[in-house]
Amino acid sequence: MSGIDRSGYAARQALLLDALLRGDGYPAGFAAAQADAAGRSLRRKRARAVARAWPALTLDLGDVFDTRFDAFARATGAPASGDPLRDGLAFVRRLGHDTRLGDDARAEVLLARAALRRRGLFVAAACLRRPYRRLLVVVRLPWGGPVHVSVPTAHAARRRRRPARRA
Amino acid sequence: MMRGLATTRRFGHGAGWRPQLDAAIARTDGLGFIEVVAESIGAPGLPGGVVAARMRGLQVVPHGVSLSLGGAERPDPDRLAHLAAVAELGGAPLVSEHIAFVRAGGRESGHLLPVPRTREALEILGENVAIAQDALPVPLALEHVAALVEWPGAEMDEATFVCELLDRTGALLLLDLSNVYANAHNHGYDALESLARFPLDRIAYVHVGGGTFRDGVYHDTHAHPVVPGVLRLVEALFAMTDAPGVLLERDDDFPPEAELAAELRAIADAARRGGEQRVRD
Amino acid sequence: MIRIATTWGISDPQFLWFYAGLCAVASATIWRVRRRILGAPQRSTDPTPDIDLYKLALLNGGPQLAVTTAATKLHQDGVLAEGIAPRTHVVAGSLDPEAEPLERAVFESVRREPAISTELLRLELADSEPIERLASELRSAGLLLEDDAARRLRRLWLFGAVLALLGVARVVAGLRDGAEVGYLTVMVVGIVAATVWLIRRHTTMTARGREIVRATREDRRDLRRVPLPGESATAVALFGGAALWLADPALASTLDVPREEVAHWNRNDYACSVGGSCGGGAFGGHGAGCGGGHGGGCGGGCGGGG
Repeated sequence: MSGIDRSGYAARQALLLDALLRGDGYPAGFAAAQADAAGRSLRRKRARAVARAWPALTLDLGDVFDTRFDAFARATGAPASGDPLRDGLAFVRRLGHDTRLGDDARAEVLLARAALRRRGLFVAAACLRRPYRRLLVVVRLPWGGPVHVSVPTAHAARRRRRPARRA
Repeated sequence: MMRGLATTRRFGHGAGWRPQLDAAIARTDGLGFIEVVAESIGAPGLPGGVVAARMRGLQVVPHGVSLSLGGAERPDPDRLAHLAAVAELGGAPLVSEHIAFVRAGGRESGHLLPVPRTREALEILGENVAIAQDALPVPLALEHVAALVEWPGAEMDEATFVCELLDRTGALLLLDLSNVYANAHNHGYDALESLARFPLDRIAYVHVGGGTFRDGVYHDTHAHPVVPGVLRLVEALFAMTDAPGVLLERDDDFPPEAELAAELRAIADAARRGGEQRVRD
Repeated sequence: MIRIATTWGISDPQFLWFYAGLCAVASATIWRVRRRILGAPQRSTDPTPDIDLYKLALLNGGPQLAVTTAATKLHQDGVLAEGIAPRTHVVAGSLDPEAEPLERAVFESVRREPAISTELLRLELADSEPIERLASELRSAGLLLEDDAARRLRRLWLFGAVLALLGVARVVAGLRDGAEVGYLTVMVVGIVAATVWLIRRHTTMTARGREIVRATREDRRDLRRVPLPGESATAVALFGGAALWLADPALASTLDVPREEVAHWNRNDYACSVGGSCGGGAFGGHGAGCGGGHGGGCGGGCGGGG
């Protein structure tokens, strides 16, 4: 099209966005207090979207979610589609092996992985304990959407005798 | 591809459609249009509530948030095609997008960020907007954003910048009164004075949304009631011109139906008061 | 002289045709029997009869869902609260004297045994009197299958079993004779799968019952993804425990709702259940049905905070 050189413009925008996400290193001329507020707003917005899309994960992490997600958001940009499901999955992957997720959160991860797969076959399973022992199998067929099946793995007496306490 | 001055189409009062507001919007009388976020429309098509609203006679305006017209890259043809498709699905008379960028350096911000108010930015924006207009079957309206942080080295103020951009491209104006209020408050200038210098003759429609003050900074959250200062701007606007439509934006912390109706009424009242003033003068 | 392989004195093609014919007859019979027991599928244009919340839950997801709905309502109203240990319940307020019998039963169970676990609560209430009463009312209204009708329906699996056995016998005999058993094996596998599926379907609703649930769900489809706080119980009754994960995750965790639970949702809905990301389209869908992530549309507003 025209001969306008966009490269300088692009570089400046990239620098600003990077600094806003990180929370420091603002380019010259930017008011630090304002930039801080803007960056915080950015990260918080992502956090809220991810929390809404991943209720079990958020519940599991509890108080730690805010700080850990903020750290994650400072280091990475949002996914190209803006999809909080994808954003949350990237966050989970970054959580590291020291974080043990509860059963509900693990189920969420499995379901998200299947839902996010665009092409091809996807099969994954997890052994879950709560609320009942089961094998959760999630499948995404190449032509359709994700399907899941919960197979109870324990015939542990569901009808246990209850303590004969009655007022 | 359509350029040119504001259409004479009237919209009346409207609300931003969200699934959480579907029932409330369906039951509220007197609405003339709704706005749908274009990126939320997927393969399944328009949500049932939007289709129902359309059948009731409301106009549907797609609102894009991811074109990044203010970015260094040229608008993505796929995103443009999607926006055009939503416009056709909804029989929309126009579409709207933002004077902002949302990605840079290969990363997404997830949020609308302001552009520098310079000649350089005007050139690039001008090109991007022209590309977008060529790809869209209906006119394009541009919304200026609320900025918590500003670029240094601004060559002009916001109203002038918007005027220049619209002159250059022939696009319409989506005037966001909450954003005018926010920027004026946060960057220390007079909202009314700035408002008067916006290209009011090119208004396609108006946005009004709620916000809150935090540590002395006004945040345009769309999750709170509309503050009185913004309602005063509604009145002031209508005292200057008869805007074709006003849309209430609510994105989070959804209020009960009665509260939504009360907000819409407050906006309508402010608009009416302003209109009466204009007629008197 | 070439000897044509015949197992049991019947040639393979002949048997295949015969077998296929049997399958067709069996399918038709099963279809007719189900139709007669469940009633013809309905698309009524009549307004949905006013059906009680817990009856709806019972229809939709059985006693488990009814108990979950009642517990949700009590938590929502502040009558119950989570105990100190996770997944336990304690009394936190007084029960409305006008409360439904099922609610009262849940309340009483918690009152009698403070910090009762969700598991125990379910065990106690699954076959309790209020549930039985609701079920019998549903039966007399023709929305829930009578017991013997349900039994007859369940026995239909015998058709599949007999056919499968016949097929397997033939396959075994055929293998012994060195015949081709490809097609037959495929058919037998198909029959077994269909029979298993039929068994697992747990049909308890009549056609009328199913229609009422469908119509009510359609009417309140806004609750499926975005239930407002005061409507959690209704959302649970209509859309199962998964609705609670979106509305009140803490309560969902307390009530032991499996995260993947998608009671009666169809496949297209599924993508929407996982955190509201509605799939499809060039951009993969966004959170909670609005422009998730980007400046516009979702929590944070357009341009609020550049």
